[in-house]
Amino acid sequence: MKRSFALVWGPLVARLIVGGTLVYSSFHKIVDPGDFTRILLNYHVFPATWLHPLAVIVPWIEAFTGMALITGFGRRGGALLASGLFASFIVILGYNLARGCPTICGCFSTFAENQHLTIDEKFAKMHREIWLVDVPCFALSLWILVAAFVAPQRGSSVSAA
Amino acid sequence: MNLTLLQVAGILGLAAVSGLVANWVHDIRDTGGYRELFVDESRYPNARECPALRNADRTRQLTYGERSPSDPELRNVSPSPGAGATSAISTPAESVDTTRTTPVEIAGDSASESEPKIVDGIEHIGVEAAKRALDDGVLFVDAREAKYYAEGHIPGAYSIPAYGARIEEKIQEISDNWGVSAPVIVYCNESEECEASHIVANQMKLFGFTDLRIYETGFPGWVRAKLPYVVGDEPGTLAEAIVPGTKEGE
Repeated sequence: MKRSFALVWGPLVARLIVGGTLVYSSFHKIVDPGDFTRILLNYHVFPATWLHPLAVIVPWIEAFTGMALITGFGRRGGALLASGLFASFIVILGYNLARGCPTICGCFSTFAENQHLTIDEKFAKMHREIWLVDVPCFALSLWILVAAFVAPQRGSSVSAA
Repeated sequence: MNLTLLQVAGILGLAAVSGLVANWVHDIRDTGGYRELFVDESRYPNARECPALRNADRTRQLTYGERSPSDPELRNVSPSPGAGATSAISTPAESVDTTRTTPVEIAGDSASESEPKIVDGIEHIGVEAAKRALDDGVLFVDAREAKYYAEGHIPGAYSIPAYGARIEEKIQEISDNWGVSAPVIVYCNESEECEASHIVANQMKLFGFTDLRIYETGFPGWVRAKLPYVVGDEPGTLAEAIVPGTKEGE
């Protein structure tokens, strides 16, 4: 029962949570690449020449990674990419917190919706994004990844994960 | 493991193709979401430098606490009746003067005339100087996103969203119509250290514009000063950009 939860049902729920989070967060970035460019710029870690290509492609990486996790097609690759994405968000936001640079995450909302925030509100939100979204999703992604490798690729119950 | 890497490559490939196709669709539909894939470093100066850290004056960081013009509190600020202000100023086409090329001297704020604030080689001006410049017919460039421009902007200001597409074309248009020696004031919101203004002003500087200023308290400061502003998409083109100093009765 415990093994079944750790390797089958737990990862299945985790896939839906992480996949849903990624698909949801990609939506406004796909719709408004200009706003996402501004979000990337406000991280102040990328060279100027990277901003537009990242703004064009990263939201779609999020979307396809999320869909891979939800559908189960390419879940290992999806879990690996999701781990990388959330690790990147943690590193970028953590770096800006460490150097005292107030940053708008833009994870689930546009830059424009957040630009009225005060410095303190921005820092508080950065902490919330890291500890309530990025770290849990990163942990869930690792769980999915490990379960996908540990669980044998046989049997109907395992294939559900 | 090979299968995992293959899946990663597949997802990245699909994402790249989808992103490029979506970008192309943004381009042909002219949605404003189109991103040029290859931009010069100068497009986003100081991209890796946090503006809050760049500015040693901690008090300047308080500008992050200012509210956007879409904030209900700000939007409820009504211009003073004494100034003849209205939130829906018409922009008569007959008052357009697109041939102006003579630079107009922009006086600084009386409080800061002795020591003008210059950041990255561009002078920053306050609301009083901005108001005088508007009366003198100086061209204002609004560097905010189009939707904020539509919610309210300085009368006659031309919209060049700093994070929008093809800003070089719009700057070229100003250069063709007004000349690079024409005085131009760029503004945005005062949050984010007015980074959008810096992006547009820097691009204009690269085009050869010599008389550039940044109005640093931006549109929120304009509204707080109870100065008139315009709601809507007008002027949509540079040719329709009004020159307030040439309006009837002035």
